[in-house]
Amino acid sequence: MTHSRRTRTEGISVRVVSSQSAATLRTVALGEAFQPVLVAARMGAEWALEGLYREYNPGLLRYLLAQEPNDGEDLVSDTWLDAAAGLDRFQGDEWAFRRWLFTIARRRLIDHRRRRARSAQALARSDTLGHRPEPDETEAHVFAATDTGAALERIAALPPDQGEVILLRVLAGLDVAQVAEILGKKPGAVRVLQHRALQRLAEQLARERPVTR
Amino acid sequence: MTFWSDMDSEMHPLPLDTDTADRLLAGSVAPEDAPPGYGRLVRLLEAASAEASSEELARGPETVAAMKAALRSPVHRDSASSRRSFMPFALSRPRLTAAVVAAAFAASVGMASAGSLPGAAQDVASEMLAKVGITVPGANDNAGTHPDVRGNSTSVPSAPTDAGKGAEISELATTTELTGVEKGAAVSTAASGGKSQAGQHGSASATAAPVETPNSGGTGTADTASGGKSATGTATANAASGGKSAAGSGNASNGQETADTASGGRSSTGQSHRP
Repeated sequence: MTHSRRTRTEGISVRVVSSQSAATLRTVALGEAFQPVLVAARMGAEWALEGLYREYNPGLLRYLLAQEPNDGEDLVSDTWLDAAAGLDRFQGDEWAFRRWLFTIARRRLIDHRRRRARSAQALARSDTLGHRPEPDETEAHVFAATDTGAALERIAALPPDQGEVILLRVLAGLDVAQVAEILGKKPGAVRVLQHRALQRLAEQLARERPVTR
Repeated sequence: MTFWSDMDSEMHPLPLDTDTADRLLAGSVAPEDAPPGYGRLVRLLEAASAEASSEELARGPETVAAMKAALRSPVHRDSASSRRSFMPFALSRPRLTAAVVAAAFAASVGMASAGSLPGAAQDVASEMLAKVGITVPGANDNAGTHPDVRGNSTSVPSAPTDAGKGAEISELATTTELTGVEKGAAVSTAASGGKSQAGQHGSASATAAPVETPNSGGTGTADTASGGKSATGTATANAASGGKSAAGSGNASNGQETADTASGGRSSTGQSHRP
């Protein structure tokens, strides 16, 4: 079902199409409306911020939850706050915006893992002192028991660099060059990684018996 | 109905070419059009990038509100993970002090380069900056009325002292022809530089000053200590005070003896101006 509305602000009339009209996350939904939405979002227009959120939050959430099932939702919130704080500095089209958003998300992910590594070291030290905190409970995220969740878990089970390439290509809809830019790799290296990942996934699926639903 | 079941579930996937891999990842290949062995993979990728669910947008209102707040104050990032304030323009006290010192130094160098410091300061700046390889002019006409000569601690002109004033006053006291109140006033005025009011109030007392008469023991001691030289002073003082003066103890200077004699023992000349 197509879900759209027309909004006028500051003399700009734009047609905002919600993400529910998109067949997959890999398609560009805002298109020509992106720049007016961006301008309005910079001015703090709630409808524009909501439009950006609805368009890009699912991809961000899946990207982060696939790699950090327990903290993915908090990382998405942090990503949006960083994006809002830097919105004035952003320049580019919708594809550049996608790349920018996922770059922020990836940095958040890396920071989170570094902090956790430091906490683990502190935890090990506290264990030696006889302080043993309660273990964290594993949280059930929004994709539990869904096809999307099962697919993300399978991708996330790949070697980390292969899995991240597949997630960025599928969830952000970025091409090889854009993914290479985010990961700091050469495009050729990204092609090799995605090729190995697809081959591995296809072989795993071919070995499994079909699951009756 | 089966999940990820298709006709090629038992087929071993063949190696992909680069273009086909890109098309699979871009979502431009339907499962039924996928190469043999890749149909289930295409379905998996479709599931991963499926339409957004309502649960994925559940945090929308709070996230949008937080984004609006972040837009209003972009330098303050309240990060849920780092919980750290980001204030690029906040300076700590040491940094602020260092900045002020640096600014003052830069301003001083600039003024020295322009030769617009006061003469002495320009001279100092020229020498100091020359040590670090910066050439600035020395003192010149731009110094205006400021002193052009740099002094030092050894060239301070000698200040007048009172070292010789005692002798001068003593000389006056011993040589003046005035007597009594007039002499005391003259000596006191000279000693105080004209500020003394001695002699303006009251007059020479017809009666003796209320000074206790030294006992014989004291006189004897004075005589003994002075080798008999106190006798004259004591006699003079006694004559002037009707025998009640304490002067002439043998320790008073000539000037004090005279002053005491002239003022009937009320002058303080000898005590005020001892060097």
